[in-house]
Amino acid sequence: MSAKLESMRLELRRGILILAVLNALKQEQYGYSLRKSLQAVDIDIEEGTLYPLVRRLESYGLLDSRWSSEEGRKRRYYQTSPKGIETLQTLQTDWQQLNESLVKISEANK
Amino acid sequence: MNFLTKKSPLDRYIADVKTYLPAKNRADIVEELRANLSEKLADRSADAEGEVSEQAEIELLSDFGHPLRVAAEYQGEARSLVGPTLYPFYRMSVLVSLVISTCVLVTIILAEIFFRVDLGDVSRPWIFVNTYIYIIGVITVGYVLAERLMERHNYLDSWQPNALDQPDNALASAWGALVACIVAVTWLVMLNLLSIEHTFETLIGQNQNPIDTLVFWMKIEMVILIPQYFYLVFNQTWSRNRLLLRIGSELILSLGCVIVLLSNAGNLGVNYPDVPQSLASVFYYVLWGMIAATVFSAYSYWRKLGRLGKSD
Repeated sequence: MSAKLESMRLELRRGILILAVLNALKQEQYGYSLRKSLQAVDIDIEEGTLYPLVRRLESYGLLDSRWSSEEGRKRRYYQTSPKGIETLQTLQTDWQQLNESLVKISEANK
Repeated sequence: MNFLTKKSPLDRYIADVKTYLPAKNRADIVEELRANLSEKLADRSADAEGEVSEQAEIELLSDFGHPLRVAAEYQGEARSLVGPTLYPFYRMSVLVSLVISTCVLVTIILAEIFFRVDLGDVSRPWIFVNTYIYIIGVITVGYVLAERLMERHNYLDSWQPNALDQPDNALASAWGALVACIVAVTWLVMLNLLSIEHTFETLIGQNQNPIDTLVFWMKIEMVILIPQYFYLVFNQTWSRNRLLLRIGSELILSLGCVIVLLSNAGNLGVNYPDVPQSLASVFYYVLWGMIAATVFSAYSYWRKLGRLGKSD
């Protein structure tokens, strides 16, 4: 059961991860710093999932990216694009509606 | 071991992930992955106030996940050959076709053993392997094309509940039609494996082999049926013309059976001398059975046509 529960939790997290990433990248960040900023707000997602997701969002045009060398390190920075901001607003509205519906269901079945 | 050429676990990990990555952006992805992992290693090094051991590097990579899994995440929304929508029907079609072909092949081999029917210089195990590969290939291609077509025409998004036909007039479902279409195509492919002469003499039973004539008529029926099934996948409503075409295709096979009965059915024993006479006579019953089945099927469509006329 624990494996199934873990799989369900992962599925649930994956759904909201796009929202979290688009939100977090309103401010420019590179992969590892993004991971740390998400961890700081208790969104603990595997890096093997996060980095490919960021790439995917970039390929959809939702993120802008650039390579930069700072402190002797080469880093790829990402930031939410104008199209990404627009998408984020739509997704956030959907998320809020879903959340309200869930609260209603939960309260109705108390 | 040559220490000059020994790569760190991180290098080996990156190299491994690289082999599984899609060619597009491979170098870029690898560079970014290395940067992120190095960053994390450096972080750990700072926490440990010194050099990170190889063991710590291995632990970090273990947490990151198997190279194959990581590379798969970078594949994005790559799709499988047959998607989940059609997969149950695909699986059913493959299973049904494999069972039918196994029965046919076993019958042929038994006929060879007991009635010394000459199969020629053919490897018995390879008959099965070749047939299975062929069938699975044809069905897979059929489903892949059907699925692409459905996606292109947004079939699953463009349906209207009130446009569905009355149960009495409709075929079982679009899925049923799709399965029928795939099975019919497979059957046509199998019929094509038999080398027959497509001549007018064969068609009217003036050749020596009744099987050739029967196969020729079956092929004609399949060629008429397949477009009908294909159309039914997208539109399950029977029209008068389509019902008439359906009746016609049933009667075509019926006509073929009658021609074989009247002309060359008796030649079965001549072509296959090792088949006992008792078994050859079964062929007549098979033909009569096929005539009865096709006429009954045509009659049921005729009744459907009548009901359609009344409702109109």
